Amino acid sequence: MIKTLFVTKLTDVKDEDIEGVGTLRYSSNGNVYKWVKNHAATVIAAKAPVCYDVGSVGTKALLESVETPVTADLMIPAGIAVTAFAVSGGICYGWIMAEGYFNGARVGSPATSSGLTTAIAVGDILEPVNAITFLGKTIEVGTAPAYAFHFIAQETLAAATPSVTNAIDVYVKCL
Amino acid sequence: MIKTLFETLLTDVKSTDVEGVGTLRYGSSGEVYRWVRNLSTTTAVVALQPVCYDENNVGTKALFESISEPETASLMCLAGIAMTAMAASASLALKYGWIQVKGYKNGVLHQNASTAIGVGDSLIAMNDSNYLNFSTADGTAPLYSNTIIALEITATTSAATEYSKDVYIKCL
Repeated sequence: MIKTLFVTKLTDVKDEDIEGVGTLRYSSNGNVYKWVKNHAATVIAAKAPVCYDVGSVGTKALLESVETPVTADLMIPAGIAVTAFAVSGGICYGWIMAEGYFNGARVGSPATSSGLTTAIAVGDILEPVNAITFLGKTIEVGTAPAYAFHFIAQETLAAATPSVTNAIDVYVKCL
Repeated sequence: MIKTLFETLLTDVKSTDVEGVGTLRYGSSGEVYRWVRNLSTTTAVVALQPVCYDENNVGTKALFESISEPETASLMCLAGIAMTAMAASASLALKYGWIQVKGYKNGVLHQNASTAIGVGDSLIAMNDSNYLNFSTADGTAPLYSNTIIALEITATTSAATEYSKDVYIKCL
């Protein structure tokens, strides 16, 4: 049976697993959220992309914990963090959006050496980048996504200026 | 209205259509299951094998109500993974059951001989086979919209070897 009553708001974070990691939460407009744990020693920024931990493959726990993207995990993005998560052991449980329209996701890069270097058009496919708290562009609209789980730009963005934080709307397809 | 009460367990098989073929059933962690009928009169379905919709039903809603063991003509219509064995279609046979069409699934049948499978690789069904096999590597677009993603590594072997591995099903 699908759980329909929740203790937390979508922007809440907790230091214990009060919703049951892996639980999905459906909204009336088609957005789907998942309650997860930040299992890593790195904080997760609000509205940043997160990935599942490939170290948990072979178990259902793979889809219950997330972390800031690293190279080994980039093929299994989990979604966008609704709010900031502390490191594992702290206030590290919270909601991510796994599917649906997300307002103001972190896109671009703080430096020219990582992430976004070309402009983004509506429909472009965005993907997480190793050790970066932003989505970066990977594939132009009209070409098939490289990964089954991905993000679709819903706004345009000029090529990133270093050290500038960009936020654009995206459609999350990680479910 | 979405049906929320079911007569059967996910591993039940029946000789009659007790749930209504095509009906979806939602789990709490994102899994989705569909009640279907094994349309084949000659080939039973094995538990945890991939199954395909019958391409002869295209153009009708019946396409999503029946499945069979994969054939070349139906590989693009991958339906999901059988939750349990289903008999070949006959009047009193146990031919109705659940398949999983979306979400995490433990222990699905794989087979590989020449290509290692990595996490994120896309897997497809094969003609006349009850195993999945490698299709495209992670980072390359899947061949079909309905696809299955490997969630475990499978090493290359010199001969076709059968495995039971975790996957993510995207057939809905």
